Amino acid sequence: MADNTLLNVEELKVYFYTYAGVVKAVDGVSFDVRRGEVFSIVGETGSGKSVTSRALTRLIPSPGRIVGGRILFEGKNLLEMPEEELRKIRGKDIAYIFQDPSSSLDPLFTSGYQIAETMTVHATADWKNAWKRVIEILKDVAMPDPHKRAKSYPHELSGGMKQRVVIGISVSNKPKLIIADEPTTALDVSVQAQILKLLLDLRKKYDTTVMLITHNLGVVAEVSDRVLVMYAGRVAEIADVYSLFGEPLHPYTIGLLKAVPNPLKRIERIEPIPGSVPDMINVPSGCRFHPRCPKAMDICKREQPPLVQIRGGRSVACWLYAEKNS
Amino acid sequence: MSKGNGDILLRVEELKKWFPVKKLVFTVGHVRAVDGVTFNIRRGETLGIVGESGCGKTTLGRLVLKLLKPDSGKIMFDGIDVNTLNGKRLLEFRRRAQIVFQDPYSSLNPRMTVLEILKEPIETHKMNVGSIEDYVVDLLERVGLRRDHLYRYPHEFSGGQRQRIAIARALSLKPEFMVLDEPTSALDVSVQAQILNMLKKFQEEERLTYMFITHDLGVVKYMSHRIAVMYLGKIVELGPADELFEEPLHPYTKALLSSIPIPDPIITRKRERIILRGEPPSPINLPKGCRFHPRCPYAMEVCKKEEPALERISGEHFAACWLVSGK
Repeated sequence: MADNTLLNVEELKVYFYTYAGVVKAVDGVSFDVRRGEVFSIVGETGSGKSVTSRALTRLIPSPGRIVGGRILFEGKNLLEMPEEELRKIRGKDIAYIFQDPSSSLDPLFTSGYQIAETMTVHATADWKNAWKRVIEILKDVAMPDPHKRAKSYPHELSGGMKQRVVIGISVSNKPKLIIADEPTTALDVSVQAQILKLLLDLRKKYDTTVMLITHNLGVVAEVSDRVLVMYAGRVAEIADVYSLFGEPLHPYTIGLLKAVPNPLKRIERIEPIPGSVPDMINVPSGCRFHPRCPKAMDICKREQPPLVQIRGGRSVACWLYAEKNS
Repeated sequence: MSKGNGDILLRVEELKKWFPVKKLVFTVGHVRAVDGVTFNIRRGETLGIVGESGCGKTTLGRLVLKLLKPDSGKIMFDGIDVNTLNGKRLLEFRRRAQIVFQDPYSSLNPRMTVLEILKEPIETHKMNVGSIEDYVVDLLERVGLRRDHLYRYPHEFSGGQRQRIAIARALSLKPEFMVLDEPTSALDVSVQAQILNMLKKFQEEERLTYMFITHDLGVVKYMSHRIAVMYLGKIVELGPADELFEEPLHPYTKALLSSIPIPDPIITRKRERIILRGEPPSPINLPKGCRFHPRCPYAMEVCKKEEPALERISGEHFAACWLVSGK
């Protein structure tokens, strides 16, 4: 089990010190990512899912600060590592794919150059070999006409093709972990399906691990092995994908699944979760979900529920389950 | 599930809107945003318009409301030719037909309070509502807001609350018809469900007629009685919502339905997949024949040469495809 863990995050806290007050975007998040799996973090706007993924390699801009926690990547604590050393990991062992491929690519350089550059920067290839690899990589990401597209500038490519280049850059150094933050949100449904399939294929081919950040429960169901549900900067629950959708435990997860219209089922009525996500400066006391929770009890208003392990390797942060186990 | 009794509120015939593409002063081509679209909407019904970005669904919504001028085609609203309307009669049409836009951050004036936002249409149309403030409070309560929100500005509200204000504004004039252009795609799922259920409730209470534009197939199925699927400026399939999802006819609809991720890991991984090749072509240089043929897994010779028309296949189910219409 221990060898199997690629990434171990403990009590991660990321706060943003704004003029309006302290935004506790991520407030004590713990999870493991195992080698070879697709681990998804799902949550709504402001849940802290993107901040969590960026904090893993300390990509938090001011006024944000990582104020606590531990991030062990293959046993090394990334939070205590000198910046110089971390730069060697970022883009090599841990690669990112962001939502908007247009802003991830430099408009002044060809797609081939940008893929080759990533390899030369990390010295996994010299320029000559990098150029040769570029065509292979573009073939791997199923780019139509790779020889021509290697010489294309980003504006000459469609949204789907740009995202293929970004994915090409991310796999070029054979990373151990690919963090994909809403990789298909900016794309149309028919292209989204192509890109998701590509990510799964590449995970096998490059023998890597994928961490997927998304708000789309359909995408989660489609590709994940295990899922972390985030709410207002904290973990609501962690479970394998079949258990999560088959038997969700946390009232937030239950509510979320009831609120999404499933196009393949006849549904008379979807059930919304009342209220809206909390203001992250003045978060509710106790469990952050309690004002919207249909099962809220007295203790939920006073005390934050701990993340407790329960059967089948699942964990959940809810007093409904914490009591039974203690 | 189809509603209404043949009482048609909106009839659209062969509607076209081409946007010129200019280089300096010369027109070098046209974006065929809406390229010959025919459909009707019955009173009390929701017609869903679904398609990917660039298929012309938003342009269609604006044409129907006379927010854009069509190049050709006819729009009949309750027996009135919308294109010829002007002056007082246009104003009356503007009252009867309303729109809710996608982005509630740009559709509300940031310098106006909620009261001012909701008061404006009532004053413009000189509606007789008694005390305006009471009327506005009543509207706010109907969309789930309160009296103490009256003097606040849009930036003080969340996205979901802003969309409620936009809906209250559209409802303030007691319209009969509403174009809902992606009203929930900027919102989180938990809030989206609140807005969708609210829209359904208003439809039942007031027999409103909706044209619901979206790219989300789950949402369109939940909201609509009938659905039109658009691809590059044309309707490729039109039919009752349940029938269209259970027995899609057009290969594009089939591919769309098979490629959307379903929030159920067992179903989504088991089902058969049609993953389309490539991306939608540019609406400036449309392929000859059927516009879908370069991406279609079933394309035949005839598809490359001739464009199929939207034909009745069975009952209320229409499709534009050589495979199903037979040639």
